[in-house]
Amino acid sequence: MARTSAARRLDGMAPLTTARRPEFGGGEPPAPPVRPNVPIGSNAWLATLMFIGAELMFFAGLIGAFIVFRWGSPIWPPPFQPRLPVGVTGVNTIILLGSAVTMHMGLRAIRSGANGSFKRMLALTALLGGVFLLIQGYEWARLIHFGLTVSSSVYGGLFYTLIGFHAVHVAGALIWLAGVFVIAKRGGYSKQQHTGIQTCAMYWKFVVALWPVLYGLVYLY
Amino acid sequence: MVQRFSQLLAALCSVVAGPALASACAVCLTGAADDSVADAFNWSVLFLMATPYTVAGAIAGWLVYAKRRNGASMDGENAASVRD
Repeated sequence: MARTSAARRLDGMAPLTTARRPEFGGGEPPAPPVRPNVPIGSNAWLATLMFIGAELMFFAGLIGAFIVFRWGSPIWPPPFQPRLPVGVTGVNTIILLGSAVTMHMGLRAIRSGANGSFKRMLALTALLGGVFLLIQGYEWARLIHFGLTVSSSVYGGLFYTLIGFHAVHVAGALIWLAGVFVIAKRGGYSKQQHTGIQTCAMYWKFVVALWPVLYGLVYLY
Repeated sequence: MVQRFSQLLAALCSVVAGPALASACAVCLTGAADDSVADAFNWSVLFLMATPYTVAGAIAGWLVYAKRRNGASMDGENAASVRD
């Protein structure tokens, strides 16, 4: 069987004769450049994407329940219920949105190899997320003191369910971020390998992006 | 083929022309009433029906975009290596 031109070259055999060289009209055409089968993202990235999709569906169910009670009630909020702290929570929203900015800046820093800036941004993100949770907890304590509890009314049940589950997700993201920070301190991430940061940033941004929707629905609408 | 199409067209026209036929379902009949709770349920059901398609479509769209961006960068690298 005739050997291919590539095989002959690999064998280091004598150069092709004039009759078999492609530029003289003979031999096989040059092979097209081979595109390696590189996946578009790591398995962890894809798994995080699927997880976020599942979480979105979970919150969609809660929002659907809120829609039923909100639009089904002629008067909302119901009478004799404490009013929600719209202003303070608005400031808290800005704090949480700021944490998404710092998280993104941290991700960009590790992608460019700036390890120092990356760790500072992670720490700042965790700080802002912690401040958000503290303010939320303080406001809840005040609302409970004024009589709005899970069992006081449908209004209270909806509020604590929706906002409470979001707070649990923020707390989970904070724990994840703490673990990522510990690994970063040990030098576990680099410009070439930082999948852990990428997935943590995805989840953090999801949790942050969800909050304005819940704030608008529960506090403002 | 023409006969099948005609049958399908006739079925669609009957559905559009006779909405009262669809009220045979208890949920649809309840939803047709002028009631805020029924309206709330309707909107909630529509929202929950749309969400899975939106989420899955967004994920699939992002994957397609990422694949094409990956392919475009690979083609650029191959062209550069061929020139070199």
